[in-house]
Amino acid sequence: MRHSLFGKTLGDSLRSYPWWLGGLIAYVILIMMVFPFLEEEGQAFQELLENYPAALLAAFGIDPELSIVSVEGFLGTYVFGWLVPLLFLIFAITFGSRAIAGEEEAGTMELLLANPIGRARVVFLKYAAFATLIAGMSLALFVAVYVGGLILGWEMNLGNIAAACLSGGLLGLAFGGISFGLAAATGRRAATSGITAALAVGSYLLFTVGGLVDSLAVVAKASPIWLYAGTETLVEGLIVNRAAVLFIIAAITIIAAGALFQRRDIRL
Amino acid sequence: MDAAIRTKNLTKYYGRSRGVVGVDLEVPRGMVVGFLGPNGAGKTTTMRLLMDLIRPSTGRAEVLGLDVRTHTIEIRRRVGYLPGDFSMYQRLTPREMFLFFAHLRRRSGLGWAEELSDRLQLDLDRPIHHLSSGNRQKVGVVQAFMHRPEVLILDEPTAGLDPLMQREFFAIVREAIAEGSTVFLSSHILDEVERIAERVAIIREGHLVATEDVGKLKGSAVSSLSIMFADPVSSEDFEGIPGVEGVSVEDRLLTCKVIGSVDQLLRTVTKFEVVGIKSSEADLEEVFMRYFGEVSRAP
Repeated sequence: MRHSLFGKTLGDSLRSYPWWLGGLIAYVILIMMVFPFLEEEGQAFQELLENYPAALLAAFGIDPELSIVSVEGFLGTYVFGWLVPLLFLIFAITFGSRAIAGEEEAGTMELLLANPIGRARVVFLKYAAFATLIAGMSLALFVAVYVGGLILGWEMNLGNIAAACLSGGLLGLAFGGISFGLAAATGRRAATSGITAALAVGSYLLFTVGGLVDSLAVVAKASPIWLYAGTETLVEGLIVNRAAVLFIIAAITIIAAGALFQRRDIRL
Repeated sequence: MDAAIRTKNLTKYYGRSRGVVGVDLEVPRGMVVGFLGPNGAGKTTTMRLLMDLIRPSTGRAEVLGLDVRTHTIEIRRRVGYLPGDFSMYQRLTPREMFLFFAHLRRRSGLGWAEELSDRLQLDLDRPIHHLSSGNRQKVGVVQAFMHRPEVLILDEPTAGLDPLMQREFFAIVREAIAEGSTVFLSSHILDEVERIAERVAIIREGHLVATEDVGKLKGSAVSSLSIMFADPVSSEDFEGIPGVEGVSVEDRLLTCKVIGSVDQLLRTVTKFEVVGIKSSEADLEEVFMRYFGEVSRAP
């Protein structure tokens, strides 16, 4: 296992991954500890929020209908609205561009492919390792929220929280697939992370603008951030068809990545 | 089926720039064939085409009778490849890297890698980023041989190895041949190929210009000699010796070029007291010029 490509890919992340998990858990628990203070000033804060421009609220995924001092409103504002998608997107972009294009640019792909392993298999095994790390992040997120909630003595809908964590993971898997696909097609790490990041920013803009302008609401539905729907999931539970679309994006892009990597010259 | 490697009109262009053009190459089984050419001639391109790392523009290649495009994995299972330009997983130790590669070959344990590393004096447990370039090259050599492949494709295998390790490397190649392997190795140094190969394929500017037995090539090799005498000598003493050209004498130092055998020159030289003698490797370009003349120019 340790000497397999899957195991090695996991092992390669061992240096940075604990920081991702640690940072995620620390942020979530610390920010949740602010909640009691917020609760005292709840009404005033809510009024303050309502006076913010709608664009700003939309950009941070804050639902003005939800009370900031409710469990869902608070988690939506401080955790699932912007932090979770941001963190999963950055992780997906970094890892996805490194896995194929990074190995190629470092010059190790040449030796790896001297072994009897197909190119598509290299892509799939590395993606499997990536998906495992994403799952670990979703789990860490859930544990952090759960522990924070226990400390605060919250009554939590654990199923909905788990669903929101899962949605974050699916968003990561979808962008990971896009990133793997671009890396497999080009072999260029900078281009891969640049284009994927631009797509992520575009998704954000689309989502935000769509939330503001009613006539553009349809357009927003093309945004993976809308599909992720962190705050809505906290309230309603898993939105199955949106989650399914994210999953399908991940599946299609990773299959495409396998095929694209087959087609071209390995860069030297 | 008797050829370990066979290419037919193998051509590769990178965009508009030339890789190799119309290469028809045959490496018989059980033989060491040297692939000789200056840097940038197309040696690496040919080898990467054989490993299916890059795809031909036209033409085809077979290894062990299998098409490299359709039987890639089967070929890689039976071939050992040392890339000319490669990097290794910097944070791993050689041992970890060999175990990783062994796993990809569905083998467990180090196998022959342990003995090979020992012979090449490679420390298995020192992280690769702490190794010198010579030691990194040894890691590359070991991974190519460790599964006792039927065919070895080695791109500049001796680059960075010191003379003692080169000798050990050649011993390992001879053992592989004795066990029935085929070795196809590239070099831009004529002497090196002469030492080990029975046959030599010469590539220049992307074109395969000749395939010759090494013996025949030796006859036309040019070496530069510098001989230091105890007392001053005169250049007239060395004029007119067959195969000796460009004689120049500065006080006690004679420099000249010798084509083929140095026997005649040495017979003359020993009439004087010789202090030192230095021979530098044959210049490949010069060999091309002499051996192929204008024919070697790519059309």
